[in-house]
Amino acid sequence: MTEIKRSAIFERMWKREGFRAELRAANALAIKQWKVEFSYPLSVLWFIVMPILWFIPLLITGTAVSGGAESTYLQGLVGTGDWLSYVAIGSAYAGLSISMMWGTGFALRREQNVGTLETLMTTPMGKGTLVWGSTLHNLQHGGLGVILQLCGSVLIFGVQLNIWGILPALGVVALSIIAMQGLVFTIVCVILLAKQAWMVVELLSSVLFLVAPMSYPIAVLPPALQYISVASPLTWSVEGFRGFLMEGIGSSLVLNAVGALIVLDVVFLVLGVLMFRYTERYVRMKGALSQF
Amino acid sequence: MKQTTIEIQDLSKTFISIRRRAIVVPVERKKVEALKSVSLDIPHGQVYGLLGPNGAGKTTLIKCLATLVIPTSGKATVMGYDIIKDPTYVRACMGVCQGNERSIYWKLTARENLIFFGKLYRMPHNEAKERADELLGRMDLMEKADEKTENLSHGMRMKIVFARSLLHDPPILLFDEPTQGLDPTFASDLRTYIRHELRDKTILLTTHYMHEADMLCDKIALINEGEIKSFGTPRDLKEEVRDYDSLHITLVGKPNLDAVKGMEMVMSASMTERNGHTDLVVTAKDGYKLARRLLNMLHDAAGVKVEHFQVKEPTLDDVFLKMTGRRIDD
Amino acid sequence: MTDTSIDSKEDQVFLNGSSYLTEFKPVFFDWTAAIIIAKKNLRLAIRYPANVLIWGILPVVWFAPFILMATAIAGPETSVYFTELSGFDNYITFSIIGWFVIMFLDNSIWGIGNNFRWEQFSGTLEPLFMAPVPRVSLLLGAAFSDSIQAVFQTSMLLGISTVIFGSRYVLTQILPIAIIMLVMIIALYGFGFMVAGLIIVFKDPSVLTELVSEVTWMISPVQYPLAALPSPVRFAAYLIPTTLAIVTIRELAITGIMNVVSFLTALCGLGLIAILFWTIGLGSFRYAVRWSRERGHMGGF
Repeated sequence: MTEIKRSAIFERMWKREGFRAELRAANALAIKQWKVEFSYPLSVLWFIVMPILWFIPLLITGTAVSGGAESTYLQGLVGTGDWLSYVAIGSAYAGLSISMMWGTGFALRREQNVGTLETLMTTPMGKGTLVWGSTLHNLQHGGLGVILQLCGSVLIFGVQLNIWGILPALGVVALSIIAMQGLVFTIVCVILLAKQAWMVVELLSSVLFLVAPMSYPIAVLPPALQYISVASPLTWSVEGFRGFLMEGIGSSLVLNAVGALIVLDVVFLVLGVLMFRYTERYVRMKGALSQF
Repeated sequence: MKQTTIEIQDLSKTFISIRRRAIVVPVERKKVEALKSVSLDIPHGQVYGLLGPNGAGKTTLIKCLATLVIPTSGKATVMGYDIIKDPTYVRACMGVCQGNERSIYWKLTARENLIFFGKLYRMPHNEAKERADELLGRMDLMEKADEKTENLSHGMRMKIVFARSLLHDPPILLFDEPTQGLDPTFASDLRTYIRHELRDKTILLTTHYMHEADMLCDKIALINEGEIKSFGTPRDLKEEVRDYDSLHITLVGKPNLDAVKGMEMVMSASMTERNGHTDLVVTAKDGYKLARRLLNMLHDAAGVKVEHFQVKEPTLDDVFLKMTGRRIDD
Repeated sequence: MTDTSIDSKEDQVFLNGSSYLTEFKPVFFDWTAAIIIAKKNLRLAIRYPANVLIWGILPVVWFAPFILMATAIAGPETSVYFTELSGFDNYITFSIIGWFVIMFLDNSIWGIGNNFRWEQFSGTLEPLFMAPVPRVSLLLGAAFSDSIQAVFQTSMLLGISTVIFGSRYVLTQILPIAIIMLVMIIALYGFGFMVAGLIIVFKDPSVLTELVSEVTWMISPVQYPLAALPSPVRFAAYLIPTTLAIVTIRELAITGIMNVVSFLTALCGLGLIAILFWTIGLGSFRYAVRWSRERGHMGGF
């Protein structure tokens, strides 16, 4: 660096380079997003009621077709006839995934819409920090949603959870975040590159949710979709999460899910980060940061 | 000799946009050369201005330096850091203020905005808060510190945007049209601040206000269609077009026009009468040299009294007109 | 009193060549403006090729998980319990009609209201509102274009679903179905106006629209019959224009039997709902615009 007299404030900023500074920036981004969300009065209401509202149509549909709380057909497919708990836990996890994928994926688009993206890009935080900050916010947001939905399901609808499985289920969430971050980076790339990105993202996430065993096991999918399902981290995340919460730590099937998730974590994160790096550079090359 | 803090060598940027598509396949592309081989060195502690009309390439140059846009070719360094290879260091070295009130969060208060951005500049919460309060005080915004930005006036929002660029007290500042759309009082406050409070900073500012460039800049680059057409101090630039000066004199009474025309150095002279006054316009190669002689002559003329006298110098707009064939406000 | 008539010489000179101003008379409703807005929206929609995804594929992808869940819980055959509850013996054929109709509701929630939000973001809402046309014309223009897109979208859904799931419907009752759909769409416009008003006031569409969307979806008999809902909720469901339409169209398209009395009752019910929603919708939209103008929030985010 050229030797020029620098102020004390600047000197301190310069020396603070590193992981801690990035973490602070990511945290600031997460807190900022909470403040912005809570400045819209309906957000608070939505945040509380949404997880329950989302689950009720599934509950009514299930009851309308089964006529009771037990399903012999599901018992044959997955070994449990408690369809209510099966669907409740699966859909709770879906809420977290949606929050992560949509919320984080569209964070850059939101910043661009309000006019702050370029300003954020002129700060010295790492380019990925902007995405990680948003991930942090959506993890908090989605995580609270999962807690609300599961508590509501237990208290209102009589869903049964295995408390010994809660801690390992959180471990599955942690593992799934890594692979999901890879997906998020991919979504961000689509958003940076495609004009009507939300449609592409909607298609991508709808297909991922279609093939994920959120409210049904993958055995009911057509065989071609079952192959896609196996390659999706969402599939193993939800299987692991539900496995622990329904059957505790004794289930051997859950270990398969965790193993698959670890492999997919590596693949998805590496691909996602590489794509993001390339795309971010490409967009700056095009000079389209303020107009994508 | 002063150290160079920003070095720009042959920087070019070409944007390619798709003009027409056949369904989704691009069939016609359009190339726009926003910057054509721009070179500029800015020494430490100097204020340099980029003056030019809309679409001249000023903002593209600022965005390239701010690492928001990657140039097509050429090289630029900021405090020795390459804008392509070391973008994070470059961003840490500079504060950028774009004349856009939307570059802060309207749903956050002034203080919250500054604390938030402070943290992005690696400050712990308390330090960011302290610095935010300090800057809010300097900008006379302390009373409005806890109001949501959406409830503030345009001028106040721009002050927050401006304060944001100073958060980490960077040695280099890039100002892109900082006073655009501001009312004259706010604009004047901001210019005064830049002149007096940021004297030790290296500043590159873009503007299309000539008087702003004239007032703030040590050196000015006149930019048009992506090229620097002329470069120098405001005085040097004006010298380039100083083919003649014009002397504007308001008189009571009527002088002898032929006698004026007959004076040495006078190139032309014209006279108009208005409400009992006479407006005399005289052109000469060197207005200041002629002025004394002409005033002596008018003083000696019977029934003539000089009320107002002015040697009009060329403006930067005149310089721009000569260099590019268009006016800055075109 | 100040004379504002345009008859001085200066005024005439000023207005020379602009007979528009001398002849301008405000109107209660401007059809031309509504059609221009609709055309503009459709033109913009066509400019984005990715819309094909929304119109064609996505509705099926949204709809399939419910079918899969029902299959996982009750098995591939429609359960006896469901047939007793709903009166229909094929769950998939039953749900497709629900989805076919509810997509119009979805469009009126997401389309009209968010159209204004989109204009707000792109900076064109204020210029639109400055144009000397009644604002209801702008609303209706947006609604027309949404309806056209919805017709296209639902036709695709019906076509793809019948191919994938092999569902069959009775086509002889197409005229009464079209009449019911028409009245329902008119009623939904009122609903859309209300949402547009709410969005102008509350700004953030993702929250508000999803709230309205989720609640209406939850109490609509799309995936399940009305009998599956608790009775107070059933009453609320009938206030949504699509409920009567879904129930009537299911009868007509699946059984092919036209019961004139129940058809006319449904039609009158929808007509009343249309009047109710238009009154509430226009009232709340006007109030919202006024509220927003008083606070200068029109162009804000």
